Amino acid sequence: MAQVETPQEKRKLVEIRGPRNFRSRVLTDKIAKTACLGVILVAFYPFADILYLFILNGVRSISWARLTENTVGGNSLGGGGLSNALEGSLFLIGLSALIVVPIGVFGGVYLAEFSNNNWISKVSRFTADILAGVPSIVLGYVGFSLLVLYFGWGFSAMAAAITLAVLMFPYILRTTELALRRVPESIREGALALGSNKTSIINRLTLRFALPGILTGVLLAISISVGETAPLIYTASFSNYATTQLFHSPVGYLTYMVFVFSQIPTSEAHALAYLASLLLVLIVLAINLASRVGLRRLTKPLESEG
Amino acid sequence: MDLMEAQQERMSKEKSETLERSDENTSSINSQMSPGDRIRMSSLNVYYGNSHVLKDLNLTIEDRKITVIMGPSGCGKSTLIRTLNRMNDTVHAFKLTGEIALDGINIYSKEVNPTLLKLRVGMVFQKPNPFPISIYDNVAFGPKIHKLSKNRAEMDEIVMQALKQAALWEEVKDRLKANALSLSGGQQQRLCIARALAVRPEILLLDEPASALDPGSTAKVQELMVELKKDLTLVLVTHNMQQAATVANKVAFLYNGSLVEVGQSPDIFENPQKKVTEDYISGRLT
Repeated sequence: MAQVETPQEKRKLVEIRGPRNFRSRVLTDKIAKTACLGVILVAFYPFADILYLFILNGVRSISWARLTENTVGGNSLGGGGLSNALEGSLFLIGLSALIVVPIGVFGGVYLAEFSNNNWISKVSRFTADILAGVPSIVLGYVGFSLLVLYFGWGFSAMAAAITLAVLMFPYILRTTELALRRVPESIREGALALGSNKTSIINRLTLRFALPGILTGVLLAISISVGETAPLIYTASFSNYATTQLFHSPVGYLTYMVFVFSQIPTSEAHALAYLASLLLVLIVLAINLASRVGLRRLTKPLESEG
Repeated sequence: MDLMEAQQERMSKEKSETLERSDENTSSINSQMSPGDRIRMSSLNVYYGNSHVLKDLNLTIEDRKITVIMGPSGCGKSTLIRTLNRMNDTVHAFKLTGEIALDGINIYSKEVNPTLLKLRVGMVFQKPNPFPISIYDNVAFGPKIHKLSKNRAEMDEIVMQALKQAALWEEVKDRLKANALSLSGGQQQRLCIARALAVRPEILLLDEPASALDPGSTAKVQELMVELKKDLTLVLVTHNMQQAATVANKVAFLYNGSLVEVGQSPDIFENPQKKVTEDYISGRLT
């Protein structure tokens, strides 16, 4: 363009002004941009503050003894370490994921691929959305009355894991469904036209390409359940000793230490609460990083030029 | 091996066709079946809910010829071609009356398995839709599902044959493991054709296969179609007049869901019998 411009054309370009409100529009644009940035900063400040507090105090509280020893004392004088709670948290996460991932993923596959929007799918979608909005303490109470008392499992890993599974279920179900729905219809049609049936299309194509999305949902659900306290207090209670028992044996977990030990007026208890918080943040961080690495590996074959 | 059986079965069926066919709904068609016809549509009506998309069509598709279905957008071309291998079965509120016979057998009768039908009647779509996996895996997809090869070497052979048939082999032979999405649009479409050919269909349906391609790629796909009709029966849907004139043996002009005119190419372009056809060919109708 530039090389063919005659002097007259150049002048024309310079002379062209925007409409009368042009300057005020530019101004509005700038204000909007600044306002958006401001809101982000305001929202980010408390987050950064919390993170700073935990990391600073958490790191200060790190000691070999606190990481490897069991908790001493419970509701009053808190001391010792939190290895029982760390192990318990990981145990509960693993157990609940083991229960809920297959159910949620298969449910999502059903909703996206087989249901044809029938009434079953409408009802389950609706209930899942409601379930996602039920306060976790209510789920905890249901778990307590049904699993702990009625089934007679007592405070136990199984009761806690099932309660957490119920909490995670709607997220996994819906993200799986959405991830599968994002696979373009043309891919399914192409496979259908080759004479493949629904199951082989799902196995060989759609599930494979929805996998990153599904994994994201699963990890999101796990991250949410890691931070839960209320449902666990009702179902797992707390224990100063690590356990691998599924029934009739209370389990310790990190969020309990944050919740209870932060209220005990000794510096040793506070140190444990801070350390537990730090570990929780690290667990969530680890899950996120792992998912990113995993996603990259999963999506890699899609981008490679060979 | 399944295919060979199917082929033999078909041939023997063709011979005994006129004798066997006295049973209910197929009788009228087969008496009129001429030996060169592969597909015969009779009194075909298609509805989506309340809208009547195809109205009382009667059309035959001849063996190893290119039959072009031509018409303006929204006239029902795509519906028609998708009906030929039952791609519309899952479409909501799809309803069909009348009959489509493939080698004398109504493809909508209960005995026909829609999956096996698609093995014999392949399809290529308007927009290239390669699977986001390797070129090799794209072509091998169909043969794998239907277990058409006993071992890796046989599969390699099938893939190579299909790619050669689709005139893509020379361009991709050194990067079969590359992602199919790394190909250009025209190459992707030829890959889709290769993918469809890999299960060795007898009939190939092409739904505006070149409409999303640049002129060079379009020309290649057209050449390819002419080449393919040596071995296959082709049905092509297009609204591109030049393309129709270039490749067609037989042209069916569809307008508002009705078959206006059927003729041989180039007769239909030079002497259209109906006013609408003439208007469409001369570009007065869009």
